[in-house]
Amino acid sequence: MRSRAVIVIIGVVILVATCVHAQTGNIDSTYKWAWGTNIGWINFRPADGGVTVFEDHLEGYAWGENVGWIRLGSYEGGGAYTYANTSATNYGVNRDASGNLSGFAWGTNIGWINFNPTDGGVTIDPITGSFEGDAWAENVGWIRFKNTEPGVIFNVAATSVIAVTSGDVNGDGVVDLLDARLCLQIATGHFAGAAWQRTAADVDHDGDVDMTDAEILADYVLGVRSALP
Amino acid sequence: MGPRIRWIGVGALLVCLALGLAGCRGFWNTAIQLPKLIVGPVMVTGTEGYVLISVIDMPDGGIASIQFGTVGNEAIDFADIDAATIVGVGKNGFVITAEDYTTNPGKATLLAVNGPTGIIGGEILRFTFTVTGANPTFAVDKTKVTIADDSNTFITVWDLSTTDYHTR
Repeated sequence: MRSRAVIVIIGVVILVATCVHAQTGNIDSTYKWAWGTNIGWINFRPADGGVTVFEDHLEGYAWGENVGWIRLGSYEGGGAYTYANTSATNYGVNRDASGNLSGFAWGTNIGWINFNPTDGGVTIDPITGSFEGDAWAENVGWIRFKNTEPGVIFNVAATSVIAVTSGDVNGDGVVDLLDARLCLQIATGHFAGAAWQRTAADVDHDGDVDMTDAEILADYVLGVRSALP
Repeated sequence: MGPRIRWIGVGALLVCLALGLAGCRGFWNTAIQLPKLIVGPVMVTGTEGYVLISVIDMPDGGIASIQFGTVGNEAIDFADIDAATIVGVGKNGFVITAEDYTTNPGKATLLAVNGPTGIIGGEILRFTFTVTGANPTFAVDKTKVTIADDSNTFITVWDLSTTDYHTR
């Protein structure tokens, strides 16, 4: 009886462990490698993890072949978000409108990684999604995101940058009846929605989602109004 | 008598076998009941009238949102009804979040959603209005109507019926 319970617990632990980094992210399947001077290759699209580049921040996990998991941010809700980077509970890598990265990632075995260090810095090209530059890990030194010199060419590149489109509450690329209902559900408290969904549902951009947003969005879907505010 | 009875028995067996095979091939099955959107008849008392829109046999989760066309491509055509007097009201949790009624010719488009849940069967909309002629009509063009379920997925296979929900 006791051994059966142990087996069940082990099974649950294994299941949870394999699910922790389940997201794939939006890093290119080929251009996914960064290089740490003292720690070797870092995969930004590993099998059980993956990094997602959003318009204003990064999320997810990269895998260092010699140092294990590196988490790009403490938040995992998608959409619009900015890390405060004031404590161990709100750290993460932010991205400004020009593609410049800032803030910190956390390596389980290597500590903090600064994406905007003195004498370095990392950017993401807003057109190509390509990472460029160097981050600084406090315990293991420089991590390079792109190298075009012959012999050792590598790069990390996002296939796309997930943008929040006003009104597209389900993120399927179309603003329609389904978005109108989701917006009303958020407005009336029947659906919480992820941060990016609440941003998309706030069609009047007043900082909250209420019946005004639901009616504006419904008017737009119906064609009563030709554009969203 | 003996051979005749035997042949009758064989014939009965063959008939039973044929009926059984026909049953196996589904010849006796009734048609599958598709989800239905039911637009009731225009009910008139004096100069006031109303129309009920209901659903029945909606899939698991039920219908939770509905759109009757768009402005310029309206799904509802009406006649002998004063457009200015039309009042649409959601039923069973449905809320009309956008609507537009025009006249000459009478056309309507609207969008209604049910925030809390979907409806498997029952009334979802009621329209009241003033009748202006002897033959008021309120017709829905199914090809311009979209419906979705409680999980916010479109329901693509359904029927439009004009049989009164209460007399079906």
